[in-house]
Amino acid sequence: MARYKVIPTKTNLARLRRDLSFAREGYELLEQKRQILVVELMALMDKVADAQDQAERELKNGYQALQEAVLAMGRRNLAQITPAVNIQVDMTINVRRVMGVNIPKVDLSLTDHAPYFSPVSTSFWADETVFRFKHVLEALGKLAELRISLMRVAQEVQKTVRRVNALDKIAIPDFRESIKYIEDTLEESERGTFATLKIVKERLEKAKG
Amino acid sequence: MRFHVIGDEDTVLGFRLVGVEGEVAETPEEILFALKKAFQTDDVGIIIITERLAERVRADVEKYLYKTTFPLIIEIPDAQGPLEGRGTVRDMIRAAVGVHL
Repeated sequence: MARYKVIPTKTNLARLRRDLSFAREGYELLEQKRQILVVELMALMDKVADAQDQAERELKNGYQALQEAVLAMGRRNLAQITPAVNIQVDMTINVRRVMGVNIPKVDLSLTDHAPYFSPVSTSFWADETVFRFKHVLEALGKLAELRISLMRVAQEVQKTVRRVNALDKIAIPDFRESIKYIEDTLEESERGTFATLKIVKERLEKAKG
Repeated sequence: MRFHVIGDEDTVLGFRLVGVEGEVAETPEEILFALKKAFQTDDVGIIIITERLAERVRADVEKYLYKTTFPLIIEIPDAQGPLEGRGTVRDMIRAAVGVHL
């Protein structure tokens, strides 16, 4: 703990008292913010875990189908039919601000214009891959939204905790100590002055007497 | 807005089959170049990158992730499955926030 370098005067005392109450107020507000964010964080965490499982499952299915398609048709043939696929992805991303954190909200809609390619020269697995990857996209949209939110909220929690601690463990104790120092010093000098006055009074009375 | 994928050949091919444009990258330089390009394209909303590639340019990915609000980056396992030793979401958060949760 360190006391601020202040000259012990009444003005400084008043100023420090003001600063202390300001710091206390800030501490309370930040502490509230921290609690709200942590609640948000906990709620998000479970959702993210679910979304992640879901996305990874879809993705695994997708890769499996893709592998089959590659085996059946060859990578080059498969690549050649990709321009034919016409799936429109409508994505809007809105940003919502919660406690100073930018929380994205992803809205996805996939518009299909099947069939894309002749079933004669292509493998069943090509269709299946398209189908499964569509689900992957949907799952990933959801996951992106939740996961990014989670990471940003977590970062904000971290920042807030640091501030709360800085106020609680450093700023506020420092103010207290400085205030105490000024109060003590002022009291001491007051006692000094009082004693001096007494002596002066005594001498004056003696001189009269 | 649309997706953009950065990954190995298979991953990109898979996403191309659903009309998602993407770029095959392998070396850190290629990955960074692809990322930068994707970030400069206006209508890219979500960038999909495989974990394996993201791991190679971890510092830059984190930078993008936290500093820019937009586009969103998302990491996915590639065709070879999830990376070994990847922590769960919970671990990640615990590491970021500290133990007192």
